[in-house]
Amino acid sequence: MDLTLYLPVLIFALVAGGLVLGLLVLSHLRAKRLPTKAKNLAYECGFDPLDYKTPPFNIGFYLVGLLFLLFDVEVIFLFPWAVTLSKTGQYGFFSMVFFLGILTIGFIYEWKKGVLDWT
Amino acid sequence: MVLELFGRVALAIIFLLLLVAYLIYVERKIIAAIQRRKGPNIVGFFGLLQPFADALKLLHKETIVPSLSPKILFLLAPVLTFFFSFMAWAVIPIGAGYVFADISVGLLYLMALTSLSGYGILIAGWASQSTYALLGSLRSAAQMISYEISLSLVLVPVLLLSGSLNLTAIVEAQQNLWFIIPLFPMFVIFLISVFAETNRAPFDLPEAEAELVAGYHVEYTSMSFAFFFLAEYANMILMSAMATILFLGGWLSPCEGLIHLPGPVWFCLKISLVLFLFMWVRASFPRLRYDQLMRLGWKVLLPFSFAWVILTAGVVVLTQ
Amino acid sequence: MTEILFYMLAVGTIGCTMAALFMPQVMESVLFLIGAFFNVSGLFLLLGAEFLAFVLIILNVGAVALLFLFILMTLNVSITKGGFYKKPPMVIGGLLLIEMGVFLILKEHTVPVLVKTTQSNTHALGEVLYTHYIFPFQIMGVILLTAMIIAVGLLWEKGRRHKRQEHQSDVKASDRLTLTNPERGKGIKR
Repeated sequence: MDLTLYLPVLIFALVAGGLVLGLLVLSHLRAKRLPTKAKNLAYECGFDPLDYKTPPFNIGFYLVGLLFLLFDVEVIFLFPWAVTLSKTGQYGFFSMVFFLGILTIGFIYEWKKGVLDWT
Repeated sequence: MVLELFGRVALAIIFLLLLVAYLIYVERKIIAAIQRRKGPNIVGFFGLLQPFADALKLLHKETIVPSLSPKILFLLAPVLTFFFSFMAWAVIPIGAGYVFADISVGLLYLMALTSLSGYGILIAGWASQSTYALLGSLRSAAQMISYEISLSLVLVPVLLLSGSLNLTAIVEAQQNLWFIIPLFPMFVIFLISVFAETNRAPFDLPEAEAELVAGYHVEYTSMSFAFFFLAEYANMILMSAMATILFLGGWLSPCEGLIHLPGPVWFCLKISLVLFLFMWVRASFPRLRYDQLMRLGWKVLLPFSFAWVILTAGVVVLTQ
Repeated sequence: MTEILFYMLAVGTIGCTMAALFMPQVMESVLFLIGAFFNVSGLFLLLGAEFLAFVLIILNVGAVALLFLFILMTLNVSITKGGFYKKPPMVIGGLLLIEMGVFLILKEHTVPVLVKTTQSNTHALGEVLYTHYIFPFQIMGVILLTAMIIAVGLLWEKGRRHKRQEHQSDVKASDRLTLTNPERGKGIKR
């Protein structure tokens, strides 16, 4: 592997970063700013915000986050498997089928438990 | 040599920025045509200078930072979103050899940047300190991560057929047969996931104007707002480019007779086709409800693409 | 050149980790943790382990740290780490440091050598992971299954479709609404 391959990526980062900051600074220089108290308040339909607490949340969001994490790990395991399947052949295939089989149990459990429903 | 590279990268990014600006114009025109309106037609011929007018207007608008927001994080969020959507272009090959960084794990690089794009939205929602923004950003983040799984699962059959993570190699593996033909259901799932991933209609719940007043960008004005807006369209072009590379044969010409047309032209034509699909879908479909959206992601797309991965793998192993 | 890069990334990793440990706000800690992940990913890249470098970003930054951020955002309290949060990690970290020292003294120094291969390391990894290391790989599957069931068990209650966060039930009517009886002609002063 050659590290110089990543040089354009670095330059892309520098140029894109420079562009973003440049535009931000330009807008700061050009735009007038007349802040008032009411203008700087968070938006709420016509009146001042009642409180600054976080509104109540459905805990389902956390669950979605956790499940995403687990499935993401699973999918990442599929990547090296997919590119080398022509070499590992049937052995590799059944090894992965078994792995996915274990995880399908978890998936079915979640489905039956109703976790995947969003109501 | 490094300086020359700098110049080329800067040119590419400016070109991309122009492309994004005109994509917004084209979208307005197309949707206007579908709805039998005229669309922007005042500034310049056929309204062709509209993007510049919009850009100048946004540049001169006042930047408002809500009084309770952490200022750095508030300004950082749109910058991050914009930055990530442009970084991805470093690995996209638009023709044989026309690529900045031909790294061997190009697809993983793209996936990494896609997974990072959730940060801009989450930070924006949190830093706004506003109920609407927070609700919008949470919805959006949950939606993005739900569809990211099916998006990455769809890539697996492509990898099975191409045997490489390098984007150039993936395109070259399609010399004889574009992957859209054997993997058509995957292409459809890819498109659906991409619509959800870029928060486009019919999956634009985070921005649902009627209930969330534009979701996580409700507090943003001026250039910060423009960054979110540009990033959304830049991501659309990026995802169209991904669809082209993975399924539509990249820069390869569709038949022997047209081989003289240069590769990048084909690439642009195919991207335009996918982009048109984005707009057509936006004009034609109503927005989904949140529970329908989650059900589609977890209960339909996920099991189906898993099954298809196993099926493709089985076929690959058997036909060896 | 590689050495300079290595030392920059190494210092970055240690600095970010330290900042993550000692920052007063949890939010800042998480952001520095993300910085540390990026530096480690850079170190992997220097070693030529491209696959691991990107997987580290996809999983640790794109999923784990995102989940942290997600949870911190929705928790109402801005947690400031007090004594309790600081001491156990220090003790554990110290113990690990001592262990590392003992290990280094007792064991002969063997510096891992970079094996040069012609194929990309994704292929190299794929060829051994699903055949030679099949047993650890299947164990991994079982661990993931366990984690899935635990996640459901933690956040899902029997008979109740939704568990909500505790602090949200604390909101009383008086927090939202005040009844006053203003004097005539005076109005209410806020």
